[in-house]
Amino acid sequence: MDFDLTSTISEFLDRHLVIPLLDFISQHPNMAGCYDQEDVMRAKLDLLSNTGMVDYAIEVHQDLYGTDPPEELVTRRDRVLLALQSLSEEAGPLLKVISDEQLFTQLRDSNSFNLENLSETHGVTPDVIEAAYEFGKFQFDCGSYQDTATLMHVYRMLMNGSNPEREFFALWGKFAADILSFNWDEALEDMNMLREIIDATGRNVLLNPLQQLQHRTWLIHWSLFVFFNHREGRNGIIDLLFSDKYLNTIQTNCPHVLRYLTTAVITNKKRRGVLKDLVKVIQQEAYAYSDPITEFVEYLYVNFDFEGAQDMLQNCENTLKRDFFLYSTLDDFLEDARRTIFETYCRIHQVIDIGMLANKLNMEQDEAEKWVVNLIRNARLDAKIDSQANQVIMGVSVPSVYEQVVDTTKNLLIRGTVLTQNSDRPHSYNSAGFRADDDRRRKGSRRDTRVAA
Amino acid sequence: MSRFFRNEDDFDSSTESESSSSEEDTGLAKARTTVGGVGKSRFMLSDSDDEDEKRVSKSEKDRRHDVLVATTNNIKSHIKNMDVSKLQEDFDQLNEVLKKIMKTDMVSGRKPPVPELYVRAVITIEDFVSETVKNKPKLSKTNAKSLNRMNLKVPKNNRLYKKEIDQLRATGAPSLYDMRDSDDSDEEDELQKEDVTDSEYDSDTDSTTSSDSDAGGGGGAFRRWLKKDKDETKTAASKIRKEKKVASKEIDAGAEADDEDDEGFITVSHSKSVAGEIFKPEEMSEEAVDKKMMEILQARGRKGTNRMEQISLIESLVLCAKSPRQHIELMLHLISAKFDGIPVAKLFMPADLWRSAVNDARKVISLAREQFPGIRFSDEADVRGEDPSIILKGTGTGEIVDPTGETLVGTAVPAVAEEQVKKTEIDAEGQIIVRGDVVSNFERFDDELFRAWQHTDAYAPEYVERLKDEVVLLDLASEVQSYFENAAEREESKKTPDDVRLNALRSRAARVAARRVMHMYYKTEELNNRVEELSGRKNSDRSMTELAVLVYRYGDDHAKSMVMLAHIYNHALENRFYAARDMLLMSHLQETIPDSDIPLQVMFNRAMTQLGLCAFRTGKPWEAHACLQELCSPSYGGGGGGLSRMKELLAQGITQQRGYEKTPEQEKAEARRQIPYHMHINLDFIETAHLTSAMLLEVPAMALSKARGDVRRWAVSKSFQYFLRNSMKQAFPGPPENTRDYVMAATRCLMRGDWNGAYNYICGIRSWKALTATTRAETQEKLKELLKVEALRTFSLSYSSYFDSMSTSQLSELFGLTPARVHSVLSKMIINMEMRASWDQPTASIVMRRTEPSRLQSLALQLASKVANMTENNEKLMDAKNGGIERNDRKDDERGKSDWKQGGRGGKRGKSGFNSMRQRDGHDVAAKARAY
Repeated sequence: MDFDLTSTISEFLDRHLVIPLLDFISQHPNMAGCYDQEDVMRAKLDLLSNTGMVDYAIEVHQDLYGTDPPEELVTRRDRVLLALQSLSEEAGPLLKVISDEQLFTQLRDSNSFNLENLSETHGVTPDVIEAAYEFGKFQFDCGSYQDTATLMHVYRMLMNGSNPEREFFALWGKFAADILSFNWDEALEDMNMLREIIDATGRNVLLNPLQQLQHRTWLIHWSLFVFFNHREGRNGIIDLLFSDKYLNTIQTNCPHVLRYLTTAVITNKKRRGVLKDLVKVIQQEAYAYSDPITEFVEYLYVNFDFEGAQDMLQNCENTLKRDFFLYSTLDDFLEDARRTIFETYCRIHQVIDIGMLANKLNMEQDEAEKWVVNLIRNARLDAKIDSQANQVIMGVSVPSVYEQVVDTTKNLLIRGTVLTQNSDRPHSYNSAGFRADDDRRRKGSRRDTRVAA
Repeated sequence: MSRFFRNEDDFDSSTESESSSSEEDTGLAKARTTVGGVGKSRFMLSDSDDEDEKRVSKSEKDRRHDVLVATTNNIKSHIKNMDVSKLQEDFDQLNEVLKKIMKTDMVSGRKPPVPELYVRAVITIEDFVSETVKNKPKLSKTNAKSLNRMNLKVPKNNRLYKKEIDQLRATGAPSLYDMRDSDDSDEEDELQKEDVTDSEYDSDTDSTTSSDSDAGGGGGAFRRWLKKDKDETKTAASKIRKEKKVASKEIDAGAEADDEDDEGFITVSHSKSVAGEIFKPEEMSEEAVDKKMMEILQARGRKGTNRMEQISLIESLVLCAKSPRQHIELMLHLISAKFDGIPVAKLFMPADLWRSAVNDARKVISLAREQFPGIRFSDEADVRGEDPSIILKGTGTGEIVDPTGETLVGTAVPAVAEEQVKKTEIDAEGQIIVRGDVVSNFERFDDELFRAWQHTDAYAPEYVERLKDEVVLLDLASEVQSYFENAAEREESKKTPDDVRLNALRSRAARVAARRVMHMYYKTEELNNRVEELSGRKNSDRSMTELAVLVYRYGDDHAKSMVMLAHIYNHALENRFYAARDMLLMSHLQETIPDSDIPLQVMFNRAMTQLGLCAFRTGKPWEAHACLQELCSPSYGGGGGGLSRMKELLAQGITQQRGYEKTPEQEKAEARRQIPYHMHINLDFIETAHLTSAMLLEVPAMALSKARGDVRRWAVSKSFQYFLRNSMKQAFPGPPENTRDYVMAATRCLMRGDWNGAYNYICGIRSWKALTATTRAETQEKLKELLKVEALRTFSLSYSSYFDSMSTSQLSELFGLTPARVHSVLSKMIINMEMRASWDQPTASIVMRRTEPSRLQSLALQLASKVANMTENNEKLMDAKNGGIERNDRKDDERGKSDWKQGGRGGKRGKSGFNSMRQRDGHDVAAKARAY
């Protein structure tokens, strides 16, 4: 299967995070026929047999081979249970506090949920806390993600910066656990915290640049779960990945993430401004990575080959519906991509045949006409329909010379005034700074309106 | 060996009899030779057997004494004839000979004895002169003049040797004539006399030299020997006796006073002994060989040491090597002696010497391999202060166990040598340590070969010969490297690897690898294959990437940068543009290159140039131009066109700058960093690439700015514009002659939209020959496409005002492009607002919407923009006054956005053209390097 990124992405994910991917591959109807079912199951078994989820592994084994599970799995199961028990005993005092909801909230509200207090009143020594960390880790391994999240959270609260490294890992653990328990709000929070820590390396956690790069790569991949499930995700992904450092990381380590970035940009109507940057990155990385989605952008914005883009859209559909993260955005993407094509097309044409347009948009002619009319009605398109010739005639807007002159001179008066004021008051960067900013914003907005037109 | 030697001597004696100085021995032997010389001189006087004279090859000292004797003979005859002017010459010669005798002896740092013969001679002359002056005989004019001069000179000279003269005068028979009496006596007498002189000399040297008295045991042995010799051979021919003396020196030096072997020695020395040194393997113990080596080494580097002689001495010594350890050591010494043997006048090691030395080095490595891991080379780990793991086992005084198990008692060991006797070092694991660095030797070979290339005429057949040597060198390199890698692996597999040693071994392997990379990077794979085919062997057992990674891991910083650049160069050479570019960007070398040393800068320039050419070959004019622009722009510091600057930056030829004289040191330094001819990048082709890509960028940009009516426009390439302006001034351009003319002619065509004409001109450039036929065809094909597109752009920008609409089909026909391509190119221009037009889809044509502004309108526009400019300038002034931080920020922002854009940053000489190409995360290089 071309352009399937499952294996590529799995490299950057936690073992447990891969399980949903494998489930998707084996169960989702979109993926039917792409992979050999048995292979997938075997992969899953491999994956599971190294975790604490022995029961699940045994189940899968029985599904796959129809025989009794091998001896080692059974013994492993006992060992896991034993370890779990001993760890929970060690972390006992803390677990007791947490499980007692009333006490927990009371402590938290009275602001006494800290190490000092707990060690005095509830026998929670640092050793216990460390044991709780181990316990949480083990819990995660066994698949009880909810508990892990709580434990890790508590651990971080109690440690409160005294062991930054451990806390950092605890945060990663919490992030993974939140993802796996579909707790997207929490996960987003975790992600932002992680990002802060990674970027501000040296303050708490010491990472060398290489580790930093590595952590960023992980963060990017793990956060894909969040972005495509959280409602604010598509904004989030653009914010995160278009920041310089992450863009660098993508270019260096994982250009395949461009697919997700592109999809997010295309399906996000408000953030068209970044499209230009995206095109640039895609062009730069074209030699390292390309798939139907990035190629679509290339066709549309680099070569202005509308036919090609149209063809590519078909491929995009095939690719997207088989992508774990993107299959839910498929419809959005197709719709938005189509409109993007049309918008661009309109910008450089003055007369378009509706029949041809319908063809390009993959619609019936009437439907297409309706679609155009809707666009016109929503004032997104300056055009008229010549229904006799069956054509769309675009409104021609020639910027008049007057307008241009007015444009350039409009703000000169204000700028002049500011200057005069500033020359009177020597220390006033603020107004200058404001003006500069203001100026730029205006320019930006003008560009936007043009795009919309 | 011996022939070589003899030739040298013959040559020397024929030109200036005493100039060569074959000081190959210590004071002890010297005293002997002096004795031998005296004996011989007498022998000669009485016998004057020319035949014999020829056959016996003499040491330096012997010859000096011969001259001395001959001079004294002359003196006697001239005194007899009253030939004062001749006598004066004799006197001068006498002093010269003395000076030489004294000089040679200065080497050992001791004041030598003044030869008795000389003292006698000067006494005779002094007596003669004073007598003649007193008698005032009738003399010719010249003779009288000489006499006067002698009268002044002789007493002055003799004052220096007053002590010796007084001593001799005290004997009552000071003059030469007194000596002659003894010459006339019979053989018995002579022998007795000789013995006397011998003992005289012994006492003499005892008083003056310290080493001889130290070597008392040896001296004693000698005397004993001599006596015996005398007894045995009283009746034998004097010739044989003399030779025995030579041989005796051998035996003495070798501390083996073995009388039974006399016969063997005689024959050997008779046929072979040139410098009087020959070693018989079966005669020398391991110990003796070591000691001999020490002796030879002591003479090394001293004034008057004949290097060639040293080499052959060690060579003969190598044959005597008893153990592998010794063999390796001797070979290492031999190699360094060969390095010493480079004639001063030569700038590099002569080919035959080089080759033989490389062969020696290969022998060393193969020996070391055979003995691995029993023997290893010393390294950094051994010099860490007092390492308890190393046991120094002195063998000087105690019993020496030689390989045959025979025990030799160290009585024959002279005390001098004892101190410096070779110590066998054995480390904790029983590995024998050999002092010496094969890697340094290898690097030296490499340097010498490089220098040879630099200084050989590239068109001479010798150059090709030397090029072939590279294969040998690379063979050696791979052997050395794999040896150290094995050693490192062994060290690593130990339970407790010694980190220092491990690093030392690895860094050595990396050093070799770095050198290997430097021999590989400039060759294309194709060329490599051809060479392999021709030489019939695999050129390298490893790919360049593997070697480079090794260097990235274990090499030092300089080597890393160098290899990184070489790697980039190689990528570019193989047309892997993106790989090369990413590597360059991630290396961040362009930031530090202005501060680094010049060879690295040259390498950087080379890599950058090759990257530019690669971009050109793969049809990326923008990138090509960005890479080549700085290299090709005319120099700043006055004088020298683009070409000479290019030469300087690429170290491909020494250039003279106008108005600026280089100091000799600068000139030398420049000559030293020249790149050998076969590694050159074709300068003409660089110019072609640069100008052609500049043309492709500049022509549409010019048309665009004209169409827009910009007042001032930003030049893509200033130098190109300059050339173009000059070319446009010509009313009637002639047919193009050089690269620049061709490109300018093409530019004219392109400006009219005539892509075909432009293409033909570009293809007419001669430097295309620098590419192979297939690459040329590919490149030109790509260039053709680019020309078509740019011609279309230029055409539609320049002439759009004359059209109301243009049809796609017509344009596609005109420019030989597919309609889809035309559509795409023009659409892009519309989107980028370069052209005011839009498509009419049903008719597949483009409709111009250009409205020519009226005079008033355009003036108003200009006024508006000028006023805006003014305000902006005022604001800038204001900001500058107030500290001006924010505005700068904003500018930086904008610049940051325009990727690849060449801001005016490249002010420095070191090239920074790529600075703004694209920045990546700081230390990704390491990441990538590790990822390999």
